[in-house]
Formats: sequence, C-alpha cells, structure tokens
Amino acid sequence: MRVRGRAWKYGDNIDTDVIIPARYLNTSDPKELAKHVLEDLDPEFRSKMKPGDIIVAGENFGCGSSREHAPLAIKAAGVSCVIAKSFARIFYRNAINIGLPILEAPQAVDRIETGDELEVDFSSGEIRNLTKGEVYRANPFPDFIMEIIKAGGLVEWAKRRLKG
Amino acid sequence: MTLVGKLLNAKPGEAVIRKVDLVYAHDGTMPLIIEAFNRIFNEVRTRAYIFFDHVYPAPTVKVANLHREIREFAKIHGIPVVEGKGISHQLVVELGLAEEAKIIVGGDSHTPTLGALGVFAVGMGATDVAIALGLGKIWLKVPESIAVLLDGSPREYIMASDVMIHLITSLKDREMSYNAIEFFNVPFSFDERLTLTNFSVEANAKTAIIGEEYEGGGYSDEITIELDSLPPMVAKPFSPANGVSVEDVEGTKIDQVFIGSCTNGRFEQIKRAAEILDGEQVNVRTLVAPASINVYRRMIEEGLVRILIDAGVVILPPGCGPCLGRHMGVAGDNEVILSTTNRNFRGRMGSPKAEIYLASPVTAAVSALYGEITNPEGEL
Repeated sequence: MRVRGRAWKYGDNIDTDVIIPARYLNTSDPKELAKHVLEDLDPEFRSKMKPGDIIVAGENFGCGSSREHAPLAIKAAGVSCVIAKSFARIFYRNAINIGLPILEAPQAVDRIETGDELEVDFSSGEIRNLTKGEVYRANPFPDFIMEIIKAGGLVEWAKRRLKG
Repeated sequence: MTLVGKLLNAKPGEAVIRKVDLVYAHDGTMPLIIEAFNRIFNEVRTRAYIFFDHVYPAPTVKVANLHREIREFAKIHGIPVVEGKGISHQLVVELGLAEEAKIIVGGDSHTPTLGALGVFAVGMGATDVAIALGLGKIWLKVPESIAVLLDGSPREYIMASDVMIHLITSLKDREMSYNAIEFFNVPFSFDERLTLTNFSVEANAKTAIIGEEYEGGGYSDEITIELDSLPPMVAKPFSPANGVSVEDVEGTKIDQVFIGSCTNGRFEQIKRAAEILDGEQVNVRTLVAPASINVYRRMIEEGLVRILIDAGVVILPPGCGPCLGRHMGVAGDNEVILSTTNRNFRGRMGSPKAEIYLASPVTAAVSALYGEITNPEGEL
C-alpha cells in the first residue's frame, strides 16, 4: 500500500485542541469536522491542501484530549498519512482504530520540508522524498495493524472477522 | 514491583488482555462511541455509566440533539445517565464506583484522576471504549512506572497544582507517553490528591496512581520533589509544561479568572479561593464552577456561596464549565485568561487569539482581586 502527496510540516506537541477545536465538536460527521482541521495552527492548511497530502510533525503529535474526532478530521480532509517523530498514546491508538495511517520516523521529519513531494510505502516503511531525492526508513506496521488500516479501521476489521 | 504491575498482574512491557470493572464516558465523547458500538455490538457487557458534564445544559439545538441520542442509547442498554450533577471523574469518586475496582476505562483523557484511589484508570478514544463496552475487556501494554517522591512540607500557599506544573515542566523533554507516574509520601488532602493524578495526564503519562509506602524496585526512574522550596507556579501559554515561578509573570494583566474543573473544582480548592476573596471584591470577571452537586451543597452549607457572590464572582452549575471553550465563559480575541484547569493549548477555551495561564486556586483568587497575575506569597 503506497500513498503520495506534498508535505505540510509542523513542530512538536501538536495537540488535539488545534487539530480540531472543541467549538466544532457539535457534530460527529467527519466531513463537517474536516472543514476545520488544523484551523487554529495553520488557517491556510484546509484551503490549500490537496487530497493525498501528508502531515509531518515533531514529537508527541496528537497530545491532549481523547477525542477521536481529531484523527477522523485529518482522515476526512483527505490527508493520506501523518509522519511524526512520536505520537501521543491515545492519538496513536485512535488513528489506527479509525484507519488513518501514521508513521514514526524521526530522521525523515528532520529532513522533510513543507512542499516536498513524498511517496510512502506502508509495507516496507520506506519514505521517498521525490523533491530532495532522499529515502528514509520508518518502522513498518506489524501485519495486523496494516490489516486494520486497509479495512478502514478496527470496527470494519472486527466486523469482517466476525463474519468470516 | 510497581503498583501498576501489581494491579495488572504483569510486568512492564507485556501486552495483556484484562477484564474491565467500569467503563464510563461523557456527552463529549459518547456520540462517536455509540457510532462505533452500534456497528459491531448489540449488548453492553460491563458496568457502565454516562455523565453529562462537558456541555450541559445544552447551549444549542445541535448539542440538545446529541444529548437525546445518548439518552436513547443509554435507555436501550440500561446504562445510568447522570445529568448536570458534575464532572464524570469527580462523580465516579463520590458515587463510590471506583471502590473494589482494579481497572477502569474512561472515554476521557483525564480518567487517570481515579488513580488517587489506587485504581489503574486509563483514558481511551471512542473505538476502544466501544470495544470495552461490548466485550467487557481491553488489551493493554503494561507501562513502565516512574516514582515521584514528595519530600518535606509545602508552604502555606502552595497547592497540588503548583507541584504538578513544576513536575510537568521538569518532565517536558522526556518520552513519557508509555509511562505511568506513581506518587509516594503525599502530604495533601483527599481533594488535592486527585489533582496530582488528574494533572499527570499533561506530562503525557498513560496513568498515575498514589501509593502509601514506597518500597522501590522495578521503577524506571525515581524523582524527588522538595516541597519546602517550591514556589507558586504558573504555566504560560500554550502548554502546561511552560511552568515558571509566579514571580516571573507577576503583573500580567488578565481579563477573566476561572476556578474549577476536574483539576481544581473540589470543596477544599474552592474553599481556599473563597478564604482569599472573603470580604473583598474581584477586579476582573471571575467564574467558579463546583466539580459536583455535592461540592455545591457544601459550598452553600458552609457559607462559601455567600462569600463568593458578595465578592462579585459568577457561580456556574457543576460541570466542566469553560475549560474546553464550548460554553459559559468562552475566551474572546486577545483576552488573557487565568485558569485553574489543566490545559492552556491555543484555542482551548475559545478564541485561538486568547492567551491562557494556568495556576492554583490560591494564585487565581488573589490575582482576581488585583486584575493581574499576583504572587500569593507576596500579597497575603
């Protein structure tokens, strides 16, 4: 499974309040939530990003509230993947549970800049920076996590297994 | 062996499946939990509770309809819904739901508050909570624990919040995400002990717990905090890990003070604030929200409500109040808020252009009198 898109780079400790502020939590509709994703951090992100684009960030991405609205908003906006140096614990589980691919790759984050064209191969953990002509490695997902992401999340994955 | 290891009956690093003794969530996270639950399960297979605390009473039609949806789900599954009686974490304590529990899952990041009762309590997202409801079990990776030993006695105006802003700031460059914090030698009252475990979430800890006797052994690290020399602390915008001594920010003009929340809305904390405001007048908008209806009742019985309203304070109904910026005291553009809550992220309490400082109820109350951040040790 591969994705390709431009990088949007941010710093450390991107919290769930800036990913999707509580003032927009009057709905669980992912499309509605996606309209405001990262609005308080980068007001231009939503209007300028294209489907497939990739968020790249520093340490502790997704810290703060347990709101699953945060990875839902990112996924529904069309972001294909989040690459960070590290993820906050609840966000990490939430992202996989709803089928948003996330990768920990500290060296990649140090090198990537906003606007770089990236290609990510989830099965090998390889991140190609097509703009800079560089290749970085992330730890690939264990098979069962890859299956959950491919299924579109833990609920769909569990449903299929119950049926099978 | 760590307390977490004892409760989970496993070693740090092991992945285990465990039965859950209680699952609870609130009006903020329930709608997504219901969606995930209904896609897989028909039946709730654990003890469950729902609390309306985040946005209650409903300020908009949309929220009112979300509340209706939650009530309907709760009715089908026979889950008690506790509406408007206070904050989930506080009510779990007051209703005795944590008694005899070992493992609690909450659909809120501040669930580790209950660790003050010696429970392994962990916050999870909607899908994980739905699975805990449907299976009555969860999978967990047993975290490493660091021991935090409190040494000496705090000075008169030092509260649990000051200890935590100091601790969170000192841990900010550490990878804490898969660690638990275990506190020992805690000289604080019951109400204040809950602040220690509650606030530990902002150090990115997976959970926190308070123990009695420190035995050592099995801990990844040991940190001692000298309470005698700890000054009142303030966390500057936009992180609880931006802690400084109150002296460094003294004189910062403020537009609103909020005293309350799962961090500092218990009786003793509001009492400490009321003692400072007794017979005085606040010089800035000041909001107080009791953490529960029981706290509110005691405030009435012991005369705190009269003291507060005479001082010009607005008393809000029990619940989360303006902590998460959805109602009852939302921050406007360019306003400066001093709050006794646990998060001061950008946009947390309303406008992304507002600045939020965090402090203890004592520091917040004395600052409310002067309309600027004030050192309680200098002024009282």
